[in-house]
Amino acid sequence: MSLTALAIVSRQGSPLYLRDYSKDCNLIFGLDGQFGDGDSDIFGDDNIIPVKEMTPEQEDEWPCQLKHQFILHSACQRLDDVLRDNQWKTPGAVGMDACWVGFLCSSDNLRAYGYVTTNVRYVALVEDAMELQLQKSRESELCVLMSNVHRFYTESLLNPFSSPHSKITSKRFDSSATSLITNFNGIE
Amino acid sequence: MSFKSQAAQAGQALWSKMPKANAELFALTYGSLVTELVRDYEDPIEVNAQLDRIGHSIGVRCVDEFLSKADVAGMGVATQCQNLRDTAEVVAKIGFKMFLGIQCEVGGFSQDQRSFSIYLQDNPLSTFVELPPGDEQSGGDDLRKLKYSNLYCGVIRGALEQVNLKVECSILRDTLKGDEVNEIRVELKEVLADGAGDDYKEE
Repeated sequence: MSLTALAIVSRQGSPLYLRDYSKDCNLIFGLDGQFGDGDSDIFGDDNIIPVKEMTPEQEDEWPCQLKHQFILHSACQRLDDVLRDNQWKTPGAVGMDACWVGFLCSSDNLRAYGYVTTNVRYVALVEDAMELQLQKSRESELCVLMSNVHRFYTESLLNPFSSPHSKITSKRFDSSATSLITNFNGIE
Repeated sequence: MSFKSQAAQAGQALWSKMPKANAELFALTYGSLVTELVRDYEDPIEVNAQLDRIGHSIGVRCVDEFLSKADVAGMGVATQCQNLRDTAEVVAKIGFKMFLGIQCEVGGFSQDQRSFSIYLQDNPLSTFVELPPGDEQSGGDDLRKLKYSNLYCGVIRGALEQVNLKVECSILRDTLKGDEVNEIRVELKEVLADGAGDDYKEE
């Protein structure tokens, strides 16, 4: 049950960081579907419209597959709704648990989770797990992971050359977040 | 006791007596100073020169504080610097230690003993700093030419000027640019004669 994509969105909704990790981790299901063949549908239907490939420039700017970007967008929408209702807080929680929004929505075999801090919102896409127990324990680990990513984000903000609401370009943040997530994905 | 170990001990003693400041606040203040200078002057070479000037005025004041406190630490008038090597040890082991709390090494003495290098392993000014990647067009400011810690060069130059040593300092290696250590090269240009200036020349 590995983390496939992460999005960091500012409070106003503009994206700050979009990255997917599906190339590096071992997914339960292959990227292109159960039969590992992206071109043909199992029903032999030739009329399906494949998702357009990204150009290299788009890939550089936002290193995240379009498929994941779509799911992340809908998860952000759902997060907005949840936050507007203001009913999501677990009473009496402190620290990282107070920021944890939890399950947002699911699509295909991916589940979206949210984590909210004062200025930034985090949305993570995680693969569906088979057993409920595993899912619960992974959720708590995910919360810890999100708080660590948040810590790296605040450190990247301390760079005087960065500006608070613009895209995150820090290589240090990128490499630390990636290594955190590879560790998370490595523990199965 | 060799001069070097004496200096190291004195540095440690003085550091423990100095008032301390929050390291993050210090780094953030310096960072905002540098970014403001970059915004004002835009040319990184000009910013380096400004940082050097700022450092110079800091150094001129720091050296007085150092000399007044040196007695207490057992490095008073009795233990004077005999040559540039001793001066280098004093700057690195006592000066940097006392004001910044960092351990520095001295090395790279030239053949004629008129220049040396100071090596800093970690630089408290540049915690959390990452230089932005250079723009492709040469129209944008090429911040790779920016010497982020150029303040140190000014400080050393200003401080040594007050003790009649005219030096030139430059940053050779910088961890922000990918090197392993920060290296500041100090070159002695001339030893100034003690004097009150031309106006006071005796008739």
